[in-house]
Amino acid sequence: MKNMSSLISLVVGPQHPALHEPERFVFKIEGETIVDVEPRLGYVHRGIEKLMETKEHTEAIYLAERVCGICNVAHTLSFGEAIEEAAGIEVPSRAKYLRVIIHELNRIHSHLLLLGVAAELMGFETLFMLIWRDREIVMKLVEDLTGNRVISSLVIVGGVSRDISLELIHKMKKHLPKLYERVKQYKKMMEEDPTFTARTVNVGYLSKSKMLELGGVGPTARGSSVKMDVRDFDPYEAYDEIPFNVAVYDEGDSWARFMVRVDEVLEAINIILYALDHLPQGPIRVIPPRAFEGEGFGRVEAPRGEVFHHTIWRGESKPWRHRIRTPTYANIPAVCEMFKGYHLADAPVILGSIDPCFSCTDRLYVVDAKTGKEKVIPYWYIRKKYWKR
Amino acid sequence: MAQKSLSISDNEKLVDELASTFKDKVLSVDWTTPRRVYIKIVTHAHRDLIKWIREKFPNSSYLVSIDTIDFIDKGEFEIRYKMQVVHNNIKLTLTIAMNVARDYPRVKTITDIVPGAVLYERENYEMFGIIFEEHPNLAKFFLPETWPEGIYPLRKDVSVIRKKPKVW
Repeated sequence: MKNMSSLISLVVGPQHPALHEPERFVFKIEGETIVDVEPRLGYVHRGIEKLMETKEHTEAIYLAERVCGICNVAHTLSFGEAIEEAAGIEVPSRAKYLRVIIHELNRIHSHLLLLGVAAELMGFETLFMLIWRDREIVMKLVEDLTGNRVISSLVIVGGVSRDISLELIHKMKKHLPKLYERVKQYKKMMEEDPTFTARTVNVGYLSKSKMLELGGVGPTARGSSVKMDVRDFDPYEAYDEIPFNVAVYDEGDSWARFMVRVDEVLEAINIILYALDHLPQGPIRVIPPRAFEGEGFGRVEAPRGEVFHHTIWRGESKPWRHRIRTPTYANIPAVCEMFKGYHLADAPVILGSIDPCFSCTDRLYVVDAKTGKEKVIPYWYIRKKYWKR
Repeated sequence: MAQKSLSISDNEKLVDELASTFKDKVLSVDWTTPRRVYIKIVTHAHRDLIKWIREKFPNSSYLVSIDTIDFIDKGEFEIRYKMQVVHNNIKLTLTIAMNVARDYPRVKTITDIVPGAVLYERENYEMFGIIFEEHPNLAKFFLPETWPEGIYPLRKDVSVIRKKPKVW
C-alpha cells in the first residue's frame, strides 16, 4: 500500500450465476494486484440454528438436509450422528455401510461438479463437458439408490430409510470402475495440460503453518500438506473398518487443492466398492426415542471439509441448542489470505479452489484517498463509459 | 486391512499434562469418547490453555469452532472453544468450556493467538452479544445492516417465531 491514491475497492458479489452461497468480497486492488480482501456473508442466512430449537428431530433432519444442497448427505449424517449420540442409540451395521456408500457417492458428485465448474472458470470447456457427462453416472446411481437425484433423504435418525437391492449392487460394480478409469484420465489431463496448469500452478499459495493458524479444513487444508481428515482421526460409521488413504499434496497452491479432490474421487470409488463387498446383513434402522436428555457431537468429513452438528437436549422433545459449523465458513479466513499478492484475474480460480462459488462483479467502490469517501458507481455506468464500441 | 489402531494412553497423557500444568484453572475433565474430552475451566483462563496447545503443537493443531450455549435458567453463557490435535498417536478433540455471567458477557479475544478465530468471534458477538475485547473488527457478519441494535437472536429470551395472524 505504497500509493494510496491508486488503491481501488472492487466489489465482487453477492449475486452470482454459477453455484450456491452468495458471498461478497471487497477486493482492495492496486493496479492488477490484490492487496486486501474484506468478506461479507449472510445473504442466505435463514436462521436454521434458531429454527432447530422449535422442531422435533423427525422434522429437523429435513431442515438439516437443506443447509447445503450439494453436500446434503453430510448434513443429515452429521445430524443423525449427533442425535444418536445424545439419545444413546446404536445404528445397525448394515445401515452404517449404506451410509458410507451414499456419503461417498455424494462426495464424488460434489467433487466432479466442482472440477467441472473449475474447468469452465479457466475456459477449458471440453473438460467441463466431459466431467459433467461422467457425473451423470453417479447421479443415476444415487437416483436408483434413494429415489432422488440430489437431495437424497436416505439417512434418517436411527439408520437409513431404504435398503439396497442386489441388482443395484451389480449395477454399481459395473459402472463405478468405468468412472474410475475416466477420472484417472482426467487426472492425467489436469497434471499435463497447459490450459489447466498455467492457471493453477503457483496460484493462491498458502503455507501449512498459516493454514493451521487460520483453521482451514477439508481439501483446502490437505492441499497445504495438512493431513487432517475426520474419517481418519475421528472415524464415524464404518470408516474404522474400511481401508483408505488420505490424499495430501504439499504444493499448497490451487492446483494441489484440485488434485486432492481428484484423488478423493478415486479413493471414494474404492471405498464404495469395498463397502459393497463387505455389506453385512441385518436390519437397516432402529426406532429412536422422541424425548431424551444428553449431548451429541456429530462430526463428518463433507466434500468441502469438516461439518459438525452439536446438539444439547434437556429432556424435552426439542433441542435446547443446536449448533452447525459448515466447512466453507471455516475456510473464509484462509481464502482471504490466499488472494493477497495475486492478480485479480486469478481470483475466480483461487475462490473456486476452496469450492464455494464465484460471483459476478456488480459495482465498484472508488476510494478517494484525500477525503476517504467512498462513491458507489453502478456497473452499467462503467460499461457505458469505458466499453465504448 | 488397515485397522485404525488407537493408543488411548497418549490422549490421556496429554490431558493429564494439561490438567497438571493448569492446576488452578481446570475445574473438571470429562471423557465423552476416547477421542473427545470436555474440559471445564475457570472464567477468563481460555487464553492460557489455547496458547499452551498451539505452542505445543504448532504444526498439528487447529481451532475447530467457538460455540455459545445460553443457560438462561442458571443466568450464564457457556462458551466452548473446540480444538483439534492430530500429532503422531494423539488424536484428540478438546472442548474447553467456561461460564460467563449473562448480564456482563465480556471475554478476551483469542485472535492474536489463533487468527482464524476472527469470524467465530464475530458470529458469537452478533448472535449472543458476547463482547470479545480487543477484537480487530467486531462488526456484524451474518445479520443484515437493518437488524435492530441490542437484539441477539440466538439468546433464549428472544423469540423470532412469527405469530400467525388471526383470520377471524
